[in-house]
Amino acid sequence: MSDETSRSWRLSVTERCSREDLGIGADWHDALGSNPVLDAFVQRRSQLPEGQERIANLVGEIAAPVFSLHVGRDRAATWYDEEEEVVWLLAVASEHDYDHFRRLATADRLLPTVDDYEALDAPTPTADLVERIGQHARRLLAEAVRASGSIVEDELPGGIPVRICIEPGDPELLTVAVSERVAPGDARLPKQWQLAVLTAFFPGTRFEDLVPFALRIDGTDIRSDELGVTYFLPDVI
Amino acid sequence: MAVADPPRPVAAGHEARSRATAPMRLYAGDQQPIRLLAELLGIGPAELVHRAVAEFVDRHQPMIASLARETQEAFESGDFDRLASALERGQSERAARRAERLKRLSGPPERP
Repeated sequence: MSDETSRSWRLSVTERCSREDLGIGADWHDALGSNPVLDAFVQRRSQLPEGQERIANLVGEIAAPVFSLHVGRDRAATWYDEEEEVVWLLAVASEHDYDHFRRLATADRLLPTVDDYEALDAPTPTADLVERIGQHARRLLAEAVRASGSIVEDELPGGIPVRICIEPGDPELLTVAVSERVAPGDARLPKQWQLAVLTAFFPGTRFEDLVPFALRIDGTDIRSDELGVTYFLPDVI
Repeated sequence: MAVADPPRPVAAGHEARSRATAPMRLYAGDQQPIRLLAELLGIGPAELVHRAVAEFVDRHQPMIASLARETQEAFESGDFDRLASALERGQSERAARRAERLKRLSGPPERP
């Protein structure tokens, strides 16, 4: 199985598929290890987001390219949503029943819903959470000053991983990298929220001065799940 | 007298481009223009895309900067409700875009 951090796409199961086709609870992760279709989905689509065989009776019916996953006599339908970087397990049928997929598509019940996507997003922040993040960011900046020259890694309220580093010198430079992978689980921070968290570390600095985005922090690469910037250490600390 | 912008800070090792790369799919039709431009400029495709992104961010700064400003003002003034509302509005717009896209993808493919 590919390393969870090395691939950009996530795996998920639509709520309809979990409930109706697999007969499992709301969190499909709980059924891993006991459901051969789910296990095959995770194992194979972790390697490659698309399969080799498109489901023929859906070609021309729906624009999304849906691929078949064979597990014994069961057949599963998966779709790689490249824009959102999610591979969805859309439906499962027994005994090669490809008509099941077609019926779902005709009834507009095959693809994920907006709710399915929102279940993958980090929750919308409340004013209280925003305030706590601001306070935590200030504490973290103070800690980074004490640990100048090394990376300080922490989790902001809301489970947002952040790495910050102050590069000693005159002037001192501050690099902040905010991850989109919110802990615990597999939720991701919407980009707008990720940008907001990042700028919270640079009070009084114009956004125009913060770009282009940083490629490195303390001499190592910014990770693919992080958005980073480097600028002068704010004098509000 | 105009005040000059402060020089852009450069973190140690920042000029040395990251060597880490990650795969990302492109439209097939963009592959050749990217290779052409990269070759004409004497740089690699990853560097070309990096510069193109930087130029794009620069060009669209007002749109991106408006949220950044809202964030900073909220943190400075303590008006966290305002920022939370802005982010919630962003989520609603995202949901609307998703609904529109899913509707399109659920229908038959468009003819070229």
